[in-house]
Amino acid sequence: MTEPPAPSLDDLPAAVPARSRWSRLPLIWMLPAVVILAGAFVVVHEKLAQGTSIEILFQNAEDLEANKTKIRYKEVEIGDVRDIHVSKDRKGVVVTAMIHRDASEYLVEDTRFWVVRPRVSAAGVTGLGTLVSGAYISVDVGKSASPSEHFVGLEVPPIVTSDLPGRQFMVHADDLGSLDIGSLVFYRHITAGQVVGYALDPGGAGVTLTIFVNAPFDRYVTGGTRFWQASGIDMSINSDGIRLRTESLTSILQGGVAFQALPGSAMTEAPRDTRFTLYPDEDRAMRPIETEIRTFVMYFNGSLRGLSPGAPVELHGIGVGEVKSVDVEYDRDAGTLRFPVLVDIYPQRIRGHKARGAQPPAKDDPETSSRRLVDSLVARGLRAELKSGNLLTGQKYVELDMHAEAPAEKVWWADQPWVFPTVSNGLDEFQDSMGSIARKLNKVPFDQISYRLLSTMTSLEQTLKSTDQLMRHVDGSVAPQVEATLTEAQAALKNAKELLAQDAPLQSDLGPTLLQLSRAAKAVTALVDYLERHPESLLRGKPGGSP
Amino acid sequence: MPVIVCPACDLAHRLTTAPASGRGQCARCRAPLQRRENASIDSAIALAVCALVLLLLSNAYPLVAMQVNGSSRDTTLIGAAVGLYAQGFKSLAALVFLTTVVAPLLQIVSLLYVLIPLRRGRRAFGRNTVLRMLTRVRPWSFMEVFMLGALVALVRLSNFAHIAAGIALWSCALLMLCLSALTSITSTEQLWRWVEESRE
Amino acid sequence: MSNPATGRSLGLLLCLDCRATVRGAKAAHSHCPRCHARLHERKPHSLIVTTVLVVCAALLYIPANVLPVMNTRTIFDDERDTIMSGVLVLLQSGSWPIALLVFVASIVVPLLKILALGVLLYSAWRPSPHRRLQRSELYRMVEFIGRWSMLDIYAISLLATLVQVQSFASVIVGWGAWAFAAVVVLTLLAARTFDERLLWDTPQHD
Repeated sequence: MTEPPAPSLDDLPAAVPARSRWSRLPLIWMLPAVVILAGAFVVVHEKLAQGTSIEILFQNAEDLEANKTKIRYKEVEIGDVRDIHVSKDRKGVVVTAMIHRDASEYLVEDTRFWVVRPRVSAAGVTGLGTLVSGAYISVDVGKSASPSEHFVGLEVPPIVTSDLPGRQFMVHADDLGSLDIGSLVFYRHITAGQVVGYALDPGGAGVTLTIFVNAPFDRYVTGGTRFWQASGIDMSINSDGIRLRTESLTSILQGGVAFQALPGSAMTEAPRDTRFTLYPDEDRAMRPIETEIRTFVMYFNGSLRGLSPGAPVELHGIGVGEVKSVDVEYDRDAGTLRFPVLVDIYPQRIRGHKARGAQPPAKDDPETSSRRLVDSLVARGLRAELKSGNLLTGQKYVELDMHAEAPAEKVWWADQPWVFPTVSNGLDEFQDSMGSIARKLNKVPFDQISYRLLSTMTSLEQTLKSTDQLMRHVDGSVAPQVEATLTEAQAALKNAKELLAQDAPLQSDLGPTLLQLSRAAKAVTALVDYLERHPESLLRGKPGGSP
Repeated sequence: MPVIVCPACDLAHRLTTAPASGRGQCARCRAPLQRRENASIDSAIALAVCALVLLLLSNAYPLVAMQVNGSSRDTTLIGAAVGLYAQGFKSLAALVFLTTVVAPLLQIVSLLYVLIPLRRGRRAFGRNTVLRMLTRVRPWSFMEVFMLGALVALVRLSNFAHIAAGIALWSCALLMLCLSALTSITSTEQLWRWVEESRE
Repeated sequence: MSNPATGRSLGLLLCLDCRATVRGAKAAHSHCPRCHARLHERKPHSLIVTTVLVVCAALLYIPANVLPVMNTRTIFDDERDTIMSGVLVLLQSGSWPIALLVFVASIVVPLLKILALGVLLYSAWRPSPHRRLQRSELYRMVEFIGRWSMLDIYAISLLATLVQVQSFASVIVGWGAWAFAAVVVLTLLAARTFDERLLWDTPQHD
């Protein structure tokens, strides 16, 4: 048996080249594929990492430049300004900014933006660094949970940023005074915070200030804390004299607010936004709250000028009350005007002073016991008196004191308000008597008297003049006669004396002497007769010479 | 007998197949005459596509970012030209723009414009003009010079500022490589050879 | 052979755009059959144009190095840099490789190009049979290195764009840069317009 012929090489089928689908695509295409993929990756990555675009509305674009101005949070760059254009309503500019991806969480509703540039304000000069580095927009991240992409920028940097520890309170005042945003708040003369804002109350009845107290001072703001205006120089002129107080030099310039807790008040911290009242000064602020107030009315006789509401009522120099108001009253029955002075008395103070060391009185109805106390005091002479506290300013105050000599009076508990007995002021009495004297003096018709006096004086003067003349005449003419007569008389007398002497030849001479004497007497009598008949001879002289 | 003439010295040579490796040189002046080129149109198109993507990336993103004194600035390729323009040097700006953006772009686009239809055996409209323009434009594409210039600038900047390379810098580097590869496989002779081959 | 067969002697033209060897008339208005470009035996007016370009470049070389290319303004001072002083700054800051690079690319290369082109032009005007090969190689080198001078321009453009930081530093481009760019462009154009075949053309025309 023969073998089948060996297959020749020519019969072998040729390998069929496999037409792979992939051979059509040369390897080179891998390269663009890779590149395209890489490019797409890069683009996507960039888009994802791009961050958020936000819009901020400012009043103007001062110092802002597109593609240059940066946005910083805590001085770390978190974005930059891309575009600036005027807003549609032309009221501001819209700044479009791109914020980095990792800072996107800061974009919540109450996040605030403002431009940092050199600024001079009540708080000082800020932002000087931007002179070198260029202005930038600073951010204060808010606490809200809802994100936002549209913001209204602040024109002025905020006084407090959200992350500053501390608490905000509302303080109500009658007027702003010298306070402003940025005015300092003091606690025991240490700067503890700032006035952040203020607003007119609805109705315009006052101003409510928003103040921010920094930590740790915010702990000291309790329910019993009082705020007062510490602006400038607190000068008070009252019956106590002149007092000058100032908080600090800064507060003199910019005004300030101070606060302190009333001693003995509650220690629980006040929650934020608690409302307080702003007192005008420290004294008024720190006045303890009087829990018991008794209102009396007092009628004073003298002038009430110088007595102002707020004037103290003192008992031996110790403040026990305050004048509330001074009024005018028309008493219809008497037809006169009266001036009631309403006074607040704080019985606590009196009781407090009395009860020092003593046992508390028997448990009576406190109202009755206090009335009894007052009655007993009044019975012993406790009166209210208006006194001048300060001669310089004429300020007056009410002094309660014991006047033993005062007429008996009582407190009229029945009237409303209760009437407290008063005495006049000593000075008043003096003034009164002076007044009456003056009135009397006024009544004297000084002019009439003076007129009469004048005329009397004139006639008297004339009389004196004529008397003078008469006297001269007498001196001149009559007097020598008289003198002569007198000399004769003298001689006669001498003779008489000689006569009457012991060894006088009296008896012998007596007769002639007596004769002489009778002659002298006759002469004198004749003279007197003559004078009587002819008084004008005193003046004119005897006609014909002497006898 | 096919004859080629040396473009450098005008000497006539016999056209032979190019050597397997290296290049044929002019007998007299040693200028490069022939080269074995057997790249496919596909490669050229692929490379051109790569280059196009890279070119787009290089212009879309910043080249470098500089940080100094708390402020940062960056610029793209076109931004560099714009910077010159902004300072009043319009011709300089045009020069930079032309040599780094326009020339490479024209190179890539014209190649694609001609080669893609060519691959399918079709003739692009104005192909001759485009190819002629390509030959003239190509010597003005200075991507690699730009890279070196950017390097010098970076070194000078790094002396006083903090420099960060941007995406465009890397894509520019890749573009540079891509373009040189592209230029080498699409020599004038090669292009026209493809044209002639496709006609048949 | 004593008289090498040149394309010219054989009546062959080389199309400059598509490198096709065209057999044909030497008429000035013939077109390349492949790409329809205008055919020229030699680049038209090569010598004159190249000479003009080289002369302009040489003239501009002086202001390019004398005028400041860059003006760095800080709040403290105002620094004007020419190309040379820029090199020195780089040296001082320690980066000497870069300094060397800039020095070569911006000072040596343009000068070299101008000188080389001058030499080539001279030998084109007065052709001599000696050292033709070297001159060809010289030309090839000129063509190759020409573009690298541009790097300083790119560096300046980046610096001028980036360093614009308010109140810190800003870079202003100077006219030296413009002159320098002009030198580079002119030499590039000169290299393009120069027909290197002129180096090999013997005085007698066929």
